Amino acid sequence: MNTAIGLALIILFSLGVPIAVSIVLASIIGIEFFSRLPLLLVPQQMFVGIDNFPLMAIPFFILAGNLMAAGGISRRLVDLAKSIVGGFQGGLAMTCVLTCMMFAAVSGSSVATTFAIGSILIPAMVKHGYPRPLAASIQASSAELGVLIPPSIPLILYGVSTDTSIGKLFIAGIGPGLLIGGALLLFLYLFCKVRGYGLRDHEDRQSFPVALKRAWIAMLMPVVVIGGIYGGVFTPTEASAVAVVYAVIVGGFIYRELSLAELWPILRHSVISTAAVMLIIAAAALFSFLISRSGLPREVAGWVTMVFDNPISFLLAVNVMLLIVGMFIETSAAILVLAPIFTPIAVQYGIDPVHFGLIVVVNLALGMFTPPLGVNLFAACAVAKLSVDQLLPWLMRFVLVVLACLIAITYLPWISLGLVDLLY
Amino acid sequence: MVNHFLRFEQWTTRLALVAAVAMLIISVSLGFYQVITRFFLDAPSTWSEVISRSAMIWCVFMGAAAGFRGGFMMSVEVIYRLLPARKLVWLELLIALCCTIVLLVLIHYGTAMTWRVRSQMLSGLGVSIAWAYAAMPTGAIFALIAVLARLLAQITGLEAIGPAESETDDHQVSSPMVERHATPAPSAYDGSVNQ
Repeated sequence: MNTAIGLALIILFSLGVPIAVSIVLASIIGIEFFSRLPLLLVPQQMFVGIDNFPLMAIPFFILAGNLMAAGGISRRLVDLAKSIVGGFQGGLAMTCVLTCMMFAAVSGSSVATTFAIGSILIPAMVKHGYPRPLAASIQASSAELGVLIPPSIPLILYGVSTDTSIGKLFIAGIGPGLLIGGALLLFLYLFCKVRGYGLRDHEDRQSFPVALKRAWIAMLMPVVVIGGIYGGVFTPTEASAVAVVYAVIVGGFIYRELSLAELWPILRHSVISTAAVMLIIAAAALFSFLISRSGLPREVAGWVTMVFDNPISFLLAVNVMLLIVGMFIETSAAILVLAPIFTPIAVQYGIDPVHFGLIVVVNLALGMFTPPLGVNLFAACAVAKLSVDQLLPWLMRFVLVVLACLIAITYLPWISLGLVDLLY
Repeated sequence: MVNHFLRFEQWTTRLALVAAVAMLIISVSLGFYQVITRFFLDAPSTWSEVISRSAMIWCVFMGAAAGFRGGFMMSVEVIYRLLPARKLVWLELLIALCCTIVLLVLIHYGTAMTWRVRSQMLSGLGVSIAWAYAAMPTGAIFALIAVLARLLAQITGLEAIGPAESETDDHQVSSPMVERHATPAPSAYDGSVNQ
């Protein structure tokens, strides 16, 4: 049955059938023609798959992020970042990375980050003489921080599908997020020095106290969310609901940039995003059920433990596999299907499930801005009005920087776990 | 005939979308309510989580119609660039067929499942869990109408063929930010891939 499902899935994916539909249809084919299971399983498993309170943090964080983006926060965060790093040569490029780090802390989505920040900073960078493909590459790669720095939708999915504490995963995401952000900043600083970009970047920026005064209320949100989860005040899902209310209050009453008329497009957009993501999750739940029922995870585990005799080679193999998977498969589906299979194996090798979760997510996040299927890449290209091909030569440098960080995150567990051990 | 159906569909999809938005608001409000009751009033709410979850399930399945209609469901779109333009209508037909099969299964077996669980109660409430399960067949009916309308509009040449999210298209995975600056085309709303 597994071969049939797998084959059907590949064919349906490549025909351009929506991912959620492909997964369900492949499962239907498997159930109907290659098993004795009833088709009643389809609605039942899909229902059970999304009838889950922790998962609901995903739509709520999507909504909060969209509200924040429309409520005047993006501009303020850009100004704040610019006031900090704008003085250097190449400061605008570095502003992009820093803003993405800050925006990531109020939004769980990297695509939302690309649009919110990219639509301001890509035109600004082009105006200051950066080549357009470089500006888009900077944006596409910085946005990956959106899924590492909490709150993070992929980390929630990993937590739900492997029974790992979402609170711990969020805290563990901070280290890798700072590492990749720092590496990108350093790289851009050196790159702009060597190539002579961004000589006039220091112009036209606010002083740090002024920018901070305008942006601090927005920056308080991650403190409330993470502090609330860590302090046991609320669960991640409740935190996401609090984030929505906070975003409405800040955007509507404090910054006064969120009008009632704008609320409808935001809600509509959030609902459609929610349906698209959650249907994939429901479909993946059905798929995972069939896969685990067939005993495939046990076979995989047996095979893996036979071939790789130490954690180092196992992690290397997992990284290579996830990188390839991340390039072709949508992130949520990849996490929901692969994490339950590989996390127990990782634990057998003595790897902490929280650390393993970060490895999985960093890998798949890298896949978000590598072709052929990279949502951030598409988003950045859309904002910059470029085709993916034009971007590639510039993008490679950033892929290499993040890859170097990935190796560090994989083999130095303390980058992820240091803060967790300190706090828990 | 086609126009009548499309107008009907516009109405149903809109209805489903409004319902989905309402459910999202209910779901978020209850999540927030829960924090207030436990943290400030010191009286944890027993019923809010269940209703919040059920509302979210309704939101997801009712929101699907608008997602299918605009072509905002995530997919791998390489094939659109490989096929010649005049063959694309066949591809759209094939994709719509796949969607239809899945939606029909959801309508038929979703109804059967809803009927089967009618005696089970939602925990903490005296309400049948069938009310939550019913979201699936109901949403699938709306989605099916939307899928057929999209195909019909494409076959008759009323709407452009191809994914809403192609590499060269501005709308591809736009956000509300971009949406407001972009042209207010009917397809300006979309389901960006939020991850």
